[in-house]
Amino acid sequence: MTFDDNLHPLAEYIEIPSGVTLLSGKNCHDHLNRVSSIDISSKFLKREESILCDLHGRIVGHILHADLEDQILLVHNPENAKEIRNILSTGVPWNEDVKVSTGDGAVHRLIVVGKNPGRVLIGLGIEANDLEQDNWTEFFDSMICLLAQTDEYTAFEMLIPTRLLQSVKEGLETNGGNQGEADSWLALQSLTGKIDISIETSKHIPFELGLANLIDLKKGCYPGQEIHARMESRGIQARIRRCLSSDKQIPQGKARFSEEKRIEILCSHRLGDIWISYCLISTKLDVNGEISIEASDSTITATFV
Amino acid sequence: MGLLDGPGFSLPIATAVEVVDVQIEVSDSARKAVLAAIGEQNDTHVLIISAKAGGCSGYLYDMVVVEKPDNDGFQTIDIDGVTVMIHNKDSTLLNGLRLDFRDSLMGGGFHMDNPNADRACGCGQSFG
Repeated sequence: MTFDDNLHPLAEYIEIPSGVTLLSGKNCHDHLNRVSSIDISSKFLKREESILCDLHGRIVGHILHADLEDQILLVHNPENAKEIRNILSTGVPWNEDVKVSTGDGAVHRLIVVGKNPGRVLIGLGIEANDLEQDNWTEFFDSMICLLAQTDEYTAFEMLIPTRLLQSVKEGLETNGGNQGEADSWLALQSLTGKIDISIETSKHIPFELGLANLIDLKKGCYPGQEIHARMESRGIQARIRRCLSSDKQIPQGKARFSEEKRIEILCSHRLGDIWISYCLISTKLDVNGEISIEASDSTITATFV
Repeated sequence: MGLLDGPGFSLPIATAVEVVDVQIEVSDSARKAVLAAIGEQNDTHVLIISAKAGGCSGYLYDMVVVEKPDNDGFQTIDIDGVTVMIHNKDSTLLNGLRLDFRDSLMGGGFHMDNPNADRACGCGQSFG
């Protein structure tokens, strides 16, 4: 499948609804490191993703970090923000300096994606070739990094304070960019097998979502580590992620398809005239091609991509 | 100014931690072991029991003997001459804790029995 028809010749900017939490204090890195699935190292402007899990190894939050030295800005799905903040707020040692604050609405996450977003960014004084994938670069009072680069498209990620959001959007439009829809970016992510931090993934096992790269079994204990280590050593995975294309949106949740087989739809997003859905099916099922999914009030035909 | 600065800019604290009046039980063997650890500093030093995030199961126990902290966030419990302090923010996690000490070469030392724990790690240091 080609995305070509759906890609802007220069760039679209897409605001992704996000929950924002700020960890601050001189021990904020130590505290996050104790509960995170990866080894958090303190490096100014580092961009990382991590997972917070419950003691059963299931995801509570998939988090994007921006390291601001004595603060860590955490961007995540807005729906499970309360659970994420509960984990971060409890278990702060009595002799450590850690503060957990709510930043919803204070900072916005923008994706700038298209065939040539560098042409749009240059108008804001940003040289796209200088941007790195694992590090944020400051511009004005915002931050930007390279998010993805393929033969077909390039995507950049921005974190922008509310007071500057409108002027950044206007700057992007002045330089040839258009406002795009979150759906098209999220569908593109699903097609490339990635799951955006904004997708609700709580209660899922990281491995089945292809997030094994966010699990560091060498860092020592973190909540869920024992379960993850057991899964990794056994090499057994009950479900695998797949991508479906359909003419209609497939409702989120568990459903059945041909011959009572089970499927779980994590998300379904519009890309042009079609809907792209990210789903999980049993690793024992060898299915390809077209299937009929029994939704609550209709049957939806979808094709594995 | 920066990403999180600006006139009047401040973010609200995320979650207020619940505080309860803590009650703990300390076995006689644990009390003696704590007294031995504190030694002659019993007038000035206390045992702080706390829970910090981390470990396989969500939280890790921590016990330290320190000079009595000048911090009004603590609850003080006197156990027959031993002063145990628990910070308010750990109160819901540690209320009802039973502290024991086993004098054994294999698996000896302090042991926690926590009614708030649904699960404990094999090593006994982590609970959730």
